[in-house]
Amino acid sequence: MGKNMQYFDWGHIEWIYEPDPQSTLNNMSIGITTILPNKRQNKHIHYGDEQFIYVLSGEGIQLIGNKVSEMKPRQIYHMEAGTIHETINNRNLPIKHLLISIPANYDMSVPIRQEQLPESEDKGQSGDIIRLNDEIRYIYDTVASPLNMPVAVFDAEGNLVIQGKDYPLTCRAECEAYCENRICPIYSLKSEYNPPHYANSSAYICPYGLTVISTPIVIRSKLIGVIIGGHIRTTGESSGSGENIVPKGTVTAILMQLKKLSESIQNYYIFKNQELAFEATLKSTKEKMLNIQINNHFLFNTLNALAGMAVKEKAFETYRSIIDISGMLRYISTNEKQFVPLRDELQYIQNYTNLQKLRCGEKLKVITDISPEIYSANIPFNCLQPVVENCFIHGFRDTKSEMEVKISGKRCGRMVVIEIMDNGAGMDADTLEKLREKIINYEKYEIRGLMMVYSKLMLFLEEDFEFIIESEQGKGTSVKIIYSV
Amino acid sequence: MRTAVIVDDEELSVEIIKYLIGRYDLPIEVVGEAFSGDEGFKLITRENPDIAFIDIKMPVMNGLEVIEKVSRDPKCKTDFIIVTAYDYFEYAKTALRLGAKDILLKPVEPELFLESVERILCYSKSLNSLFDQIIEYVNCNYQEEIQLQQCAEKFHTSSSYIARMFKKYNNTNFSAYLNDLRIKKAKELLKETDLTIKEVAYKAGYNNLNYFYRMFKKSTGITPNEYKGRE
Repeated sequence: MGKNMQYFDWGHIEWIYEPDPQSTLNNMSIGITTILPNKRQNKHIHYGDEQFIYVLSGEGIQLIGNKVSEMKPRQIYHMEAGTIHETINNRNLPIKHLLISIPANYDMSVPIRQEQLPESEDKGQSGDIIRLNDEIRYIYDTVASPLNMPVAVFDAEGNLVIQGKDYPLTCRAECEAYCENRICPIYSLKSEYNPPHYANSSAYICPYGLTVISTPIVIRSKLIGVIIGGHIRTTGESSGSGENIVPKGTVTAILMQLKKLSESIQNYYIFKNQELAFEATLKSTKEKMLNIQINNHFLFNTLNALAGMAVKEKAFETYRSIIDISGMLRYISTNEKQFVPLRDELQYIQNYTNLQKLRCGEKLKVITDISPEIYSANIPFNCLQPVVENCFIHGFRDTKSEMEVKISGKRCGRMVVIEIMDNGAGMDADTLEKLREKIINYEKYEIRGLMMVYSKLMLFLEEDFEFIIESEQGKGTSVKIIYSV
Repeated sequence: MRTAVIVDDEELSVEIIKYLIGRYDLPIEVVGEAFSGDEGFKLITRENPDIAFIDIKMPVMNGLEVIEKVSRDPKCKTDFIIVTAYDYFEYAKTALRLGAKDILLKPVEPELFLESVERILCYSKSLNSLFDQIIEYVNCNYQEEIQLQQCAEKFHTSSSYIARMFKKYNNTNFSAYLNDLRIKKAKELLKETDLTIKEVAYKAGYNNLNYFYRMFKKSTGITPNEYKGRE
């Protein structure tokens, strides 16, 4: 809720209450309209809302439909949706009236469409993106052209984007302003009789009795353009050129078509905007990747220098360890594949366990027993090391000696069986059950450790695998991955 | 013994390669070091070593440019092993196009280094250093006439001992090994040079053309001409 002033040639509307389209089901807009002395609200039509007016002060002439009346304070008017009305202030005091506007057809006037556009970090950029231009012509050609009536599209600043054509005889023969500029003078009126956030059509009646319909194009509560067109005769006031009066049903159809045009344009820009936002994200991700790569070069060159230094100082163990850590870093930072040969994963594990040996020394024994026939079998990237790491994080949490990790792998028919076993703390039946439960419902948890492995297997092997955890308190834990190749 | 140069702008990288050569007791003598591309170019041109370990990113001229420039000299017999921190596909592609034998990523993994060098030596190191020396001798002198007996004399051992070692470490015999090596070299020459069959035979250590044809056919199933014509 908040004060929202809307200014027009004839005065202004101070909106006292407008339903917030994001947070309420309310529909009623309340405002106080001021019509300045000797000004008039030209004949116009609200297709989308009915209005109630209570005159507060001032006097003038009110025309609703074909009925003309004197406007006086405390007078009440009710205008159905689609009624022509006109207010003329022919006195020296402003007319003020309370205006209550309610969408006539709930479906049509769900105030604004609530597409959630991705909020780009760079507001300035994405804000500027929605600028109507000629690229919507193909939409225009499909939706507006069949109407065979002038329909023009303007951007938010009032610049003509697409020119209307097929003006009726009245315009061409009688309207001086049109004949001079080849454009209807009503088009330059900035009036908006509707509450600003309504995405509904309204209309003006030109001095020659033609109805000119204005349909806003709104994205995210923001007006991005207006479709103005029609030039149809909807009332009985006759004219020399005498176009036929368009029946109400046809008017509705025209309104629908213009609405459709507005929606199509909205959708086009929403889609385009999303695409641009997506591209922006992609670009920034790429930049980030590039940064990582540049840093990688520094990293590996430095590690190489360290390795060289170790060699120079005859610290060959140190050299070996630098090779291991480099191997790990290179493996995780440069691998882009989803599947890798088991051989690479085993090498990665070996680098890792070598480094663990550095910390644990003789206390750690790593036994690897892999049947060479599965070296080239594929496995989702980085599925084994987290399991081995778990042995250290959980299994050997309180172990001080005799740590043993056994990594075995073999082929069983068309299945590959990989088992990682430790002789660490293990867990009791209850804890094990909870862990199994947690892994199956991995989606609810932070993705790391065994859950990360499980989710990867789910993703890449779908149902075609088994993930078996067995454990006994004080004896150790075993994780088996069985999958078909 | 093969000769080698190391071209890298970082002295510590040079240290690692020298260390690895020593650690695996490789039959490689480092005859020069250079710390920039242009120096590297001069060094390789002057020494024409068997092997050059070369970095890519270096001052003045990068390693790939050096390789390209050096290789223009038809007398150049150097095999290049690129040693770089840059894991770029583009680099790998260019390196292969230029005929580099391998690309090693920094920091160099000892095992991969050994594999890479063994590929150039054309044989793997055994656990017997005398045998390694003999193999190295055969690999460096296959173009000459080599006899088992002469080899035994050169290394102060008996021909039967050498024969036993060939059986033990390579599961073959001396003359079969020598012949395989010569055919392998001949195949390389046929594919990579425009030498005539006669010249190839001679360069591969065969001074009897008929014998070369026969051995080639026996080993590959086709004639040298057919082999050369096949893409």
